[in-house]
Amino acid sequence: MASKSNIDKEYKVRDPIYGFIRLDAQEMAIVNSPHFQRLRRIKQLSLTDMVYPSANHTRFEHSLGVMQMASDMFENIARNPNTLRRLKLQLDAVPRIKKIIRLAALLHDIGHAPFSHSGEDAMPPLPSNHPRYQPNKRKCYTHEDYSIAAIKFLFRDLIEQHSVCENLGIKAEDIVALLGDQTGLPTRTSIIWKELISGQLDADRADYLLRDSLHIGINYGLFDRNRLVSCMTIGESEEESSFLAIEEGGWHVAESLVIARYQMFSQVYFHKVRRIFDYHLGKALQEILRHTEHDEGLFPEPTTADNLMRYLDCDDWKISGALKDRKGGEHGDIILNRNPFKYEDEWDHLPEGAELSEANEKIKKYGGYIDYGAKTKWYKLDKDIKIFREKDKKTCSLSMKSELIKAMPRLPKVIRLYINQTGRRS
Amino acid sequence: MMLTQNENVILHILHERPNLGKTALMKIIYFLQHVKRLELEYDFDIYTYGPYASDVTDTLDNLISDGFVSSVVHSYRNYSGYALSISETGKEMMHLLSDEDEKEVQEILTFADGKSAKDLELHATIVFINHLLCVQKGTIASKDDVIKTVHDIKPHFDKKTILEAYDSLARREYISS
Repeated sequence: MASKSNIDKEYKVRDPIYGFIRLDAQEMAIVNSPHFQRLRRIKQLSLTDMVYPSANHTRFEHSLGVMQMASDMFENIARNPNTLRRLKLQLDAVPRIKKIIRLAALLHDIGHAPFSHSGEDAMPPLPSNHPRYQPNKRKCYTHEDYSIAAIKFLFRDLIEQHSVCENLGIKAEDIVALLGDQTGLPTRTSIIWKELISGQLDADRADYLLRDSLHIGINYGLFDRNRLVSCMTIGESEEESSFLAIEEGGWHVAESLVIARYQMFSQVYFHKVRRIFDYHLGKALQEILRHTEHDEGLFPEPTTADNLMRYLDCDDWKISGALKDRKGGEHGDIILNRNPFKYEDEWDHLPEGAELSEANEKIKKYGGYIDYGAKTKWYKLDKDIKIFREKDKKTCSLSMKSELIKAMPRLPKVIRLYINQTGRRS
Repeated sequence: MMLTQNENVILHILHERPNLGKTALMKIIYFLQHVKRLELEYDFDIYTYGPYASDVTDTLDNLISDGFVSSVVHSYRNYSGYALSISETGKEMMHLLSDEDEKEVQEILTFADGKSAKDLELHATIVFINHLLCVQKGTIASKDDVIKTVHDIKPHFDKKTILEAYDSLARREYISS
């Protein structure tokens, strides 16, 4: 519990995107907790530094940034009386919702695996009582499941009992509802505001595009952040309830955000060398887990506090130490020596027949891997961004306004073949 | 090139109902997966516009970029959306569904006929909330709980409309009541 003198204290943290990120005593207590500090030891872009050497920023500063971005977006929306009316929101409800959004944004990545997305291959399959379970399909836990469990098991007291929040009646369930938790019931608040955390216009991607660009030293991911924030609104139509949208006057900034994401995907996230290191890391991680945690090479399920503590004990430092101790097997050595499988060929369609046989023949002979990763969830133009015109309440999609977006490849197929050069030489 | 089950089902839907809107397609897929138990593998979550799975859009995008589905802009009174149809190449690529799946697709399409995107959004939301309550409680969800929750997240539908939609779903045994 914070002392009375600290309750109103504001903390400021320097940040290269926002200048300063402001936190209250509760948020600072969360940041200072060991589980949040762990995010300093989870690199945002995994082994991207094998290609772009300065890509060494972490989930820690990204989480702070998402909180600031989400907060700025919400404040702009809540400033407009029309949006409050559409949401049937009274002014006095605004501080509570803002706090829920800030905490959800701050904690949205708390359950990330070591080396971020590369570590997700070691997540266990869903049990049959999980809402996303499907018979005959191998659906696995995601980092979001671990984040939700961590918030419920490990951050509940800090969320519900802290003096800063005592009059707001916020529960851990209010926070996880914005992160996709399906063990509680959705509410009007959760279904609209979760789009600020994970949607087409969310604070998460708005922050990581800017932050990744800055740290890597490229300009592909840049867009006008202030303009984006100032154009966020809530639209309404007869066909649908209220929805998150961009004011018509600002559709160009939405266009630039989508193009920035496309560029970052093609130039960074889907870089051919970066992708093969994801593969090597996933394999090495499973090898390490087999020796240290479970025979199956999987993380413990996020179903108990004890399991979560064991999961969160695993971070980039621990895995890197194991790699250095040569516990990562063949793929661990490849990472240590930066000697990845080499790019051999690629297709813009699913290979079949003779080309697939030829590729498999090479893999059988030398060792190698086919990366079908263009289907990765990192790159999505899933939900169209809605553009809302206030004067006549008309709505249309960004892809109808923008010829550039319309012409963009929706899901470019890039399927790559990599071959083990050591195998080929020997 | 072999189509996946997901792709094939979408082509069948668009073959039967040309010029279908994206929202309607999304909700029809939802009914097929969650009511009729077709072996599709989408992760649906609830949004302001009802159950939605971004993977459905992925499948659709693949079909559009392969030229199997055409997508044209269609203007409504206050909204412009996309109308989807199967192309001639798509018709050639499509393969037969099993008799059982074909029957289920036809039934859901008939159910969706004459319903606006808004109606489908409401019906699909009721099924979603009913399923969620059943999973959470480990038993059949009460009608009152479902209606109360749906009204809470979709206040633009009055309780009478939600009740009528619930009863129509229950009569068809699309939800356990």
